[in-house]
Amino acid sequence: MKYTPRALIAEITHRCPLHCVYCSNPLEMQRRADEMPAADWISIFEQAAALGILHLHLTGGEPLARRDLVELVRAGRASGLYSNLITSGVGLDEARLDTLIEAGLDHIQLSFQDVAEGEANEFAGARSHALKLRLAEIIRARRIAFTINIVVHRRNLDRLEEMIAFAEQSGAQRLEIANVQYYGWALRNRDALLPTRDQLRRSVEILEAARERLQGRLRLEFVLPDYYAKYPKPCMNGWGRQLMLIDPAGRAMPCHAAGVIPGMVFPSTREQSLRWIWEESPAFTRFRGEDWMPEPCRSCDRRERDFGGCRCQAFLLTGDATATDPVCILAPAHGVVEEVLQRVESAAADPGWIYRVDTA
Amino acid sequence: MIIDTATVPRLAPGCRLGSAPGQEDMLLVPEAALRMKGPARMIVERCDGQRTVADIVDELRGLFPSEDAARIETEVVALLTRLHGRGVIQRA
Repeated sequence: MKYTPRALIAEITHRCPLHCVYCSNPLEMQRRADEMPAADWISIFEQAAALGILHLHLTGGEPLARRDLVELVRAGRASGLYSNLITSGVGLDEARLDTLIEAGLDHIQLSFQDVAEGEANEFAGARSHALKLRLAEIIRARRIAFTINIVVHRRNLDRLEEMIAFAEQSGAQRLEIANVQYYGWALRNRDALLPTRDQLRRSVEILEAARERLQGRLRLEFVLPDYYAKYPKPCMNGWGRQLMLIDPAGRAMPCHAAGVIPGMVFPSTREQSLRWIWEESPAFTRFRGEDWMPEPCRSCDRRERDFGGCRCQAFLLTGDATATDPVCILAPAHGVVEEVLQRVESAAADPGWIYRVDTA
Repeated sequence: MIIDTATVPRLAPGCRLGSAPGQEDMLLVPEAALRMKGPARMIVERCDGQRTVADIVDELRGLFPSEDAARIETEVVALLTRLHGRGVIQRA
């Protein structure tokens, strides 16, 4: 079976002015001195389009931290890729946005941490909320696709209705309400971030009603916390099936978190072609298909739908990357997840945040 | 918004047909790509903010003279209505 990659996540820098308590970047970040120059990225974009990749997601860290961003956007467009800027907004103003749009930027995804300013700044570890509000006004006045992304968790999920109302009047066409996924820095703060079962149930009701009401006006996407799911998420739509991520130093990975799996050697785009990396590298073929699967996945009817869940989560929670994702109720290690959920329900005091200190 | 023959449709911001080799049938939109085969692509590429739906229907009738004329109109309106619901087509 041959798979065609469809999306390239380009982490062009790990530098970031925000210090979100749920940062999804790896614990060990690439330093500025190791960042690839624009010429290397431009070669990657050309190879990506030739492989069949359609979407280029420029992210970080904060992609605006790179002064040559406009050059990268222009090159992405010239290669035929659809480019999306995933940003906190810090570093953006009207003039820079106009330059990026003129260079061919198709879509901008602006993150918010909350609708309440004090809390938003607390979760971001930076005073960025007021700036984001101004940027939303600047973006809506231009002809570019606009998505608002709000990461939700126990401390802000009760403001979901206000978040939706905010997005409705913001001029955005899409709203992503994404529950924290427990990788990277988020795993460190998991016990403070995981919503309760009751919060989650109410949020799903609110979201479903809003989706119905806003149809044709605001497209609503939501990501649920998989710890509460019965079956695992089809992580990345399967390992090495649709997506390639390249980190600031040029290492290619099948997802954001794969670096946690011991023994994985991630090929360098500075040494190997994207085609070889996609089609033949051990990193991308390691969990592709079904040969790696243990029971109960191997004989499960759902294996074509969820691909055994997430390999990184399996490793983080069981120490074995080939285990069935423990969020699955059929997983032998499901008890690990049950234990965490019980702790969340009974937590009397807030454990407080562990902030990430930026070393990139 | 109801799509009828007087509507002047255009692609919404951030929605465009693919340009790279092999991507010509792909309608690229935020976070997704929709495959537009044959006549569907012909319809979408005419949503330029100038032509009315009636103009588009006329052009397709010229391109497919053996097809039932009423059916062409029904299908054009149905496709554009679906794409409008998806946020891909808007009124110019």
